Formats: sequence, structure tokens, C-alpha cells
Amino acid sequence: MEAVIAPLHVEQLNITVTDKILVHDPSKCTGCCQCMIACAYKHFKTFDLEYALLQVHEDPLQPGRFINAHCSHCVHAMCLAACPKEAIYRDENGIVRISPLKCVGCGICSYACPISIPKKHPRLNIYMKCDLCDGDPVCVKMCSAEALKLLPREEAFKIVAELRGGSP
Amino acid sequence: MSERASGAKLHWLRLLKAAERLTKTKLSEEIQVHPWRRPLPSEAPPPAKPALARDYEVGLVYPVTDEAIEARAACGLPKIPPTAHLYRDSVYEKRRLLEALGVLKRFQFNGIERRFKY
Amino acid sequence: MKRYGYFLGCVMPVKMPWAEKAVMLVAKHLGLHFDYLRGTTCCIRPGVWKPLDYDAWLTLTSYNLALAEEQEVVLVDSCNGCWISHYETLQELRENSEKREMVASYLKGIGKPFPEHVEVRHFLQVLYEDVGLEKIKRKVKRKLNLRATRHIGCHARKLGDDVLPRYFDEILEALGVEIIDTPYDKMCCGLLLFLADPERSVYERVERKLNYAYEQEADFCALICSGCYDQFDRAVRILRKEAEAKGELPKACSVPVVHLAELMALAFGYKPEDFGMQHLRCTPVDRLLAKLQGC
Repeated sequence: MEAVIAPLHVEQLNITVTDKILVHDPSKCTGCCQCMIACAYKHFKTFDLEYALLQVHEDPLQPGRFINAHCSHCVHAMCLAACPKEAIYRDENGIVRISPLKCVGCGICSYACPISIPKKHPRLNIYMKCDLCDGDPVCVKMCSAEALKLLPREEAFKIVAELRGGSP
Repeated sequence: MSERASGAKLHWLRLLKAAERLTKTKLSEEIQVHPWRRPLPSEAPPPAKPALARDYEVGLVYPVTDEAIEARAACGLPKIPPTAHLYRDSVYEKRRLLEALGVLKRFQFNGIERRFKY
Repeated sequence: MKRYGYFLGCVMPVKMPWAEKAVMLVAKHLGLHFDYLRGTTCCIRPGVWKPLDYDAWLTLTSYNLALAEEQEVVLVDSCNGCWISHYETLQELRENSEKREMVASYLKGIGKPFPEHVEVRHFLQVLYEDVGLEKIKRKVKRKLNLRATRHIGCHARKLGDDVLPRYFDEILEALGVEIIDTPYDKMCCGLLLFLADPERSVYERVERKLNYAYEQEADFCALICSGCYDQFDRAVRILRKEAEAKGELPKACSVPVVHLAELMALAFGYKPEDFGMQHLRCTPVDRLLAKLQGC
């Protein structure tokens, strides 16, 4: 598989983050949930949406508009900071991962994340989260409407700021 | 309402039931009943299995039913469409491709018995 | 002059023969060199096969492209799912040499040529770009004067909202259809979701779309994609069965789902019987036809 993500070093913090992150544009999303189905299959070989590591929700204020909650592999990763067992780590590409061997399923990562991305594994007492499919996210490939994109961080911040109405 | 139409209705109701049954056996729910069960070795997700089996059988997702043949004739079309339904060689070629790609093995699909092992 | 090979797909020949006939009638009427692409298998379903096995998806899709290469035609899809499969595969084969070699070796194994020169077009592209809106307008014998909601489908948004969705709208308007904008225009039909969450795909996708169309007093819901029609057809039959059991009037089942080619055929002066419009429909079109005759 061709990895499209490269490591990016942040000197001030002396950490490595991914150079690209997922960005979702709700104005393009059709709510087809192909990203969720492909994600669940890629990681767990099932179409069960409980296993999807990203979530598509309908905007309660605007019916017919969909928003996607997905991991941003943050520079200041709250889940990583909160984990009491050091089960959450950054790999050499900067992808924030949960080690299933170290995780004790306390769920603090999920509480610490501003949008509760880490979710409990339906079968096991561990938490799980997006691993960007090791550098080639399947959700992006599945999105025909191109609502989900993999963009360089700076460009992504600009787009998110625009989507929020100008405030970064 | 004609007899055929009511037959079609029953068919659709059965389809809904089948879809509900298939999607109800979610891994997340199954684990509550069988906590120690290991995941099955087939990589084909249960809801997609009927379509995958039909795909192997006829080369397309839907077979041409009697109802469809009747309707096609009424629309002024040849009874069997000029797809793999008519050109059976395409189906055999597709099966050879599926075998060569190793898909049947991964999905644990028995091409002779036309069914999934798991 | 281009020779077009029409890719039927799985749904159209079995569930919407009226649309198949209408497509052929309309293409002939517009003077296109248009025939079936023969011997085709499933496109192959991108929503299912792409996550299941990417290489198998590429190879099996290339099989259909190879058929177009053999028959020396431009491959035309009216189903968005088929189109996206063919379009993306062709793109991948042109950009990725590894995949290209892999596909070529599998195709060689069954004696098929590698699809080197194939062109893939959406039926909307053929109508709008190759035929042209002006010619379509000239061919219109009677304006339909009907009100409709429309469902373009997710995959048609691949090239941006300014390409296929705009073509669809402009052709509809050229036929004299007044388009009703709804908040659910962009929303998916729920075809793939049916495999993961059938209830959500029926009640929160199709039912809401058709209920809104009913409330806005639309004469019909227009679409182009056979995959989407498959989902509408399935959902409407399920909804009708349930509503009948409860003894309620099924709202969503009163709005017929109509293919663009049918509307074009009607506007070009063909009679509904010419393409069997009333056969095998999930929602009867009698009221729509009565209104059309009254105009």
C-alpha cells in the first residue's frame, strides 16, 4: 500500500506529527456513510457501524446536512496526555495510536478528547481510534462527493477556519 | 391487485426480514450472547453475502426473473438482456478472475456448492 | 462519429426496463451511434468491493473496460455507481504503473486485451457535452410543465456540483420541468447503508426524501442513477407494505420515481406505451400521465 502521509517535526514541542490530516466539508457530505462502512471493514472485517472509527451525524439544526466526527491526530493530543497507562503514543509517522496491549479500557482518553473520538471496542475492554489506515485512509478513497479530504495541516486549518465562519 | 403484484409484495417483505436478520447478527451484539466466540474466518461480511453469491452465479447482482422477462417483453425489449445473462462466457471468465485473485478463498466461498463455508 | 456502448449494469435490465428502452429511444432520436455494450458483468459495485478487495475491484472493473476495448466503443454509464467504478479504475490504471501491470496480467490470463484506449462517459456527459442542450431543446415537441424534486446521487458529485448535477438540472429544465429545491437534495439514497443499517437507509433517507416531495406537491422525483432507483424501489415497497398493514395512506408511496430518459422520451413526443412506462413500477405513474395528458 502506498503511504501518502509523511512525518512532520514540530521543533518547539520536539514531537513528530503527521503532515496531513483529515478534513470534512459538511456542505459536500451526502450522508452515505461509505466512509464508516469501509472503515469498519478495513479494521474489523465487518459492515457493523459500531466498529467504525469515524462517525457521520446529521446536523440536528439543519436536516439533510451531515457532519463527520473524526480524529485529527492533534499536535496537542489530549487523549495522549490523559492516558494513565501510556498506552497512547505517536508512531514514527506522527500517527496517534492506542496500543491494545497496554490499554486497560479506563476511557479517560475518550473523556479528554474534545469530541470523544476514542471509542470502546464492542468486544474487548479496550479503546480504539483512527490510525489513518497506516498512511492511506480508506475513508478518503470511498468519498465520491469529496467531502472527506486528506490535506496538509496548514491548508486544513484554513479550511476549517472558513467553515467556522472566519474564526480559527 | 394482480396475483403477481401480491407475490412481489411478499417477496419484498421477505427481503426486509432477511436484511433485518442479517444485520441483527452484528458482532457487537453477538458478543453479548457468545462472549468467547472467535471471529469467523470468512472475510465476507454477512449482509453482502447473498449479493456476492449471486454475483458468482450470474455475474451480476440480480438474476432475470420471470417477472422481469414479462416486463421486458412488454417494454419492447429482448427477453434476456445482452449482458452476462445472455453471454454466459463472461460469467465463466469472471469466475476465473475471481479464482485467480484469491477472492473465493478469502471469502471461504465454495464455487461448486455455491455457498459460503462460514 | 463516436460509437457508444451502453453499459446496462445489474439493476436497469431487471428492475427498470422502461428506462432501458427510453434510453435507447432517446439516443436514437438524438442521432447517436448508440448500442449495448455486450456481455457485461457487474460494474463492479464500488461501495462493496472497494473496501472488500481493492485489487479485485480494479481487475473486475477492468474486465468491463476490456469489453469496451474489444468492441471499440466509448463506454457509457447512466448509473452513477457503474460510472464511478469505471472512471476511478481508468484513472488508477493511468496513474499507477504497478496496478496497471497487475490488471494486465490478470486480463491476459483470460485472453482479454488491456483497456488502453477506452473512454468512459456518463450518460449526462453524452447528452450535455456531446449532443448539446440546444439540440435537446430543439427536439422537445411538448414541454412537460410538471413540478418535481430531483435526486442526482452521491457519485455524480465526483467532478463537482458544476458538472453532472448542473447538467441534470439544465436538461430537466429544458424539458419543461419545474425543479423544487429541498433540504434533502444532497442526501444519499442509502443504497450501501442498507447493508449496514437497513432501517436508517429506508426511514431516514428514502422516506424523508419522498415525504418532502409529497408535501411540496411534486408530481414525481427525477433521477438518473439505476443504483439509487434500486434503493428507492426497495424502500418504497417496504414502506407500502408496512403502511398497508397499519391501514394508513402511504405518503412516500404516492410520488413516482422517474428516470430522466423517460422524461426526455415523453418530451420528444413518444407515448408512454412506446417504452412500457407503466410496467414493473414501484409507484404507479397513472396520475402523472393523466396530468400530462391534461396539459
